[in-house]
Amino acid sequence: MKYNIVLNTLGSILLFLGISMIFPLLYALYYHEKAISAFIISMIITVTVGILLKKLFSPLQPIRIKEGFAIACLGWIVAAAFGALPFMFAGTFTNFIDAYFESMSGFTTTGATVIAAIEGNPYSILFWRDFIQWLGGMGIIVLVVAILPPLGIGGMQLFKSEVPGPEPDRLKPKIKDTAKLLWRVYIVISALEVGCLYLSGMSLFDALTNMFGTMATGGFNPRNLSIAAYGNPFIEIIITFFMLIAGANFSLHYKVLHGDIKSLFKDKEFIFYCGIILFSIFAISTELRLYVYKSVFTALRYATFQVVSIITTTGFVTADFDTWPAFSKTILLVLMFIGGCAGSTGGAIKNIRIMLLLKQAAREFKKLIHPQAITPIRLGNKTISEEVMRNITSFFFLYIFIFVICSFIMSALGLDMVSASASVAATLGNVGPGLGIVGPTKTYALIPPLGKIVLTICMLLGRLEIYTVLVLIVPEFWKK
Amino acid sequence: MKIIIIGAGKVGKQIAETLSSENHDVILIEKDETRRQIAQDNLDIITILGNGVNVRTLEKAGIKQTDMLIAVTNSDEVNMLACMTAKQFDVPKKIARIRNSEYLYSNILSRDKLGIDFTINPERATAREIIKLLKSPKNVAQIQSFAGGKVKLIELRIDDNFPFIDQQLKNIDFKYPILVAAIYRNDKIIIPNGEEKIMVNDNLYILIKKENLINLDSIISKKPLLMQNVIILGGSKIGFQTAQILCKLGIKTKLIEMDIEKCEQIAEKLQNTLVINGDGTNIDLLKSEGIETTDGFVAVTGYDEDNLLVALLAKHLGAKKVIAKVDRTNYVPILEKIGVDAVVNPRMTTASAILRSIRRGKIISLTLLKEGKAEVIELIVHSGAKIINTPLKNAKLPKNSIIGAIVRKNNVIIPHGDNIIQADDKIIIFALSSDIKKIEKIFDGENR
Repeated sequence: MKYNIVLNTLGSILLFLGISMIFPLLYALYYHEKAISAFIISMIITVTVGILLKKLFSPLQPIRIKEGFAIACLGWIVAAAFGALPFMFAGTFTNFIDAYFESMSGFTTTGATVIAAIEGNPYSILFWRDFIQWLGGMGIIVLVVAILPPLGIGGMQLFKSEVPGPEPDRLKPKIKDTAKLLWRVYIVISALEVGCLYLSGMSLFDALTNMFGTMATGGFNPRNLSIAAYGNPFIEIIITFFMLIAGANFSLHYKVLHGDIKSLFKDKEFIFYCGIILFSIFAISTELRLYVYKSVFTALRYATFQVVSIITTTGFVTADFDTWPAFSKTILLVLMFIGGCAGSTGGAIKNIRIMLLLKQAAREFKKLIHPQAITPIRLGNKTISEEVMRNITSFFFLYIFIFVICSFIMSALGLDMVSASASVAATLGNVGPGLGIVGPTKTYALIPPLGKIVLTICMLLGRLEIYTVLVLIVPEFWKK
Repeated sequence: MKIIIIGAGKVGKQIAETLSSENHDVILIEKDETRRQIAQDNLDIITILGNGVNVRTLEKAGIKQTDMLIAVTNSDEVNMLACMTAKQFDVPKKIARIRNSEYLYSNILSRDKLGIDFTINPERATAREIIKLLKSPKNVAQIQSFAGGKVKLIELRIDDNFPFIDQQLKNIDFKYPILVAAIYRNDKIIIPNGEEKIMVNDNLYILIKKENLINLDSIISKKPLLMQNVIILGGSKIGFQTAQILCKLGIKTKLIEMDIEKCEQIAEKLQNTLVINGDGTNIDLLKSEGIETTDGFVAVTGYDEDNLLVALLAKHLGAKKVIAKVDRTNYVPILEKIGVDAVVNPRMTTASAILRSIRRGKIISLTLLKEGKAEVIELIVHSGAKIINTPLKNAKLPKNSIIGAIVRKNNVIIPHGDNIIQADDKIIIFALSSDIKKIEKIFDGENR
């Protein structure tokens, strides 16, 4: 392991994070908020540490496999720590565990909050809380790859360790160009959404912060009641549409933006993703119409928003689904595990993995009947290698394993069974609101401190897709 | 520039790596999944699984917007066909590796008709390099010519007999204008300043005027060898071509090959070469063929390990100069330490030749050193370049680069800090591969 290059790159991440604090600072200055000093102090600390790391450690070593993992994982841990500084200095929280939970929840686009009363906080703090989701959505490491001088093969190593999904697409021969393109697509779609929201009657502040929450599939927004606070069906339609986009593969969006609309319908994962969404909406709205709401339209409206919000792992809320009947709640809980598509800003297991696992299971049946058959797993006309399949199977196992262990811990800490497992599913899948005491109208504030630490780790594991984090605790990783 | 490379063999990967590190967009087409995966995991490029002459694969690789196609699969025919296809897509530059020389000199399928702009024959290029090495003095690991042969770049291995060991460069009086442009030590290339000391086991890269080459003896302590007889191990294409050139030069040549059919074929074509059928790793055979007294020994079988061991054995038994062919570049750094006089690597030779042909505009020549860690470039200074009329010591060259020679109207200047570069000078520069872009910029005019 070459520590110099790792620390140097962490310096770049911090330098960039420090500079980005200028945006909430502008808001603080505009509204003459007390948080001005909090942001100035945080900015000075972050930028200074960043510059020191860059100066003290030489960047000349190559980034190889180990360094790539170390940078990605430590980068997120460190970024969340420094991102928590403004919350501490502005007095939003009194202890660092809460501040770190909120910050990690933002960066990992989880959207699980420990702030009991959101409204009433300074604008600048709310802006920062939402803005870090947007940074974490496309990925801080991808951003670093796009901005830093070409890292050659090391860039790809970093890219792979952060971009969700089994095998990241390459849009351009150079990974730096691919990273730049993805960010460009992300910015273009984000700008579109801000425009739509602004035209539908939101203030610029609300439009921006809600866009951060949508595009990153985060779920933070500046209202206690989340999207329900606006009570506007147009806004719900706009946000649903953009959540749907954010939960799909961004390389697909790049192709569509370049006029290749057909590729949308050729992409098996996208079709599967839409299929699950349509089915869930149908099932839930049927039940809601029967037992909860009187009109089909209302049932459809709330079902659609909640389904898209949960499967894309955004976690915006327009109705308290914790009070819905069990069948609907179960579907939503399952959607928390499925999550978005590969290469999206969404979390959880991802549609492509679920799809390939289903195919693998089906193949076992075929093998039982024809033991000698050679049956490669296909996706469209592309064959998926056994290596990728093995990776997916172990990923699935690890995901469930971590879910089970953490649910044990949470229930040992005194949570009831539903709340314990839903809180883990919602943080591991980067969704945000769960069921029970962490339900859509409640917060994570009541969870005991140890539980918050466990859930913080879950968020990181979910965002970096487990391996990147866990590989760091394998003793072999640190051996020379 | 957008470049498609077909074939992810050793040469293909080397070229892809160099081009990608120079910020070109590289797309590599390979038909074997394992090889493709290895290339994808190790290089910052896009790889595509498929047949490089399949139009659909080429279209997928974006051949319509491609500036160059390099076909380096192991099949001549595929390479030729790929270039022909590329010609239909109006790709501006097409390069093919063609081993079989019969293809090269046919009028029916001339290079023009095939649409090939540049061909490279690795075996022939390697054979030429072997000859060059055989003819050079003993400590010399390689000689390259620049500026039409007026300037020679010599890689010199430093042993205990070198007269200036442990002296600082600035204190050494070589008597002739010589520039120590680079030192290769412990697998690293150092561009030295005057403080640097010469140590045993270093390899020095020195630039010298051609007319001073004969005086090199005074520096390297041992007399150049007069090659009178050479033993070649291995009747591969390289072995055959080396023997062919040696015969033309009037050097007595023996070629040892295990395969009887190959022996017969070679014997038929090369009348002045003594072809011996036998196992070249057999000491008794080598002894009876006079390995103890031979001037040169060249090991070019298909097996790196055989080549190395037999070359060492030959050295041990008394051959005066031994050269081994090694395909795997990983071996190269240790080889010269263990006693092989020189190593040739067809892959590096091919890659340098192709890269040389790719460099645009003012760059005339280019050589890769030590697996591409450093490069030597010969270029013409553009009349609009900023560096003109600045003394070299004030010119802002990248830290690890050095101007080795200036050629002005047939005069060679080995420069020092006060020299000034003029427009249309030819200059020879040493630089680490990572700095090449910066250098190109410094010597370019503004008109790009």
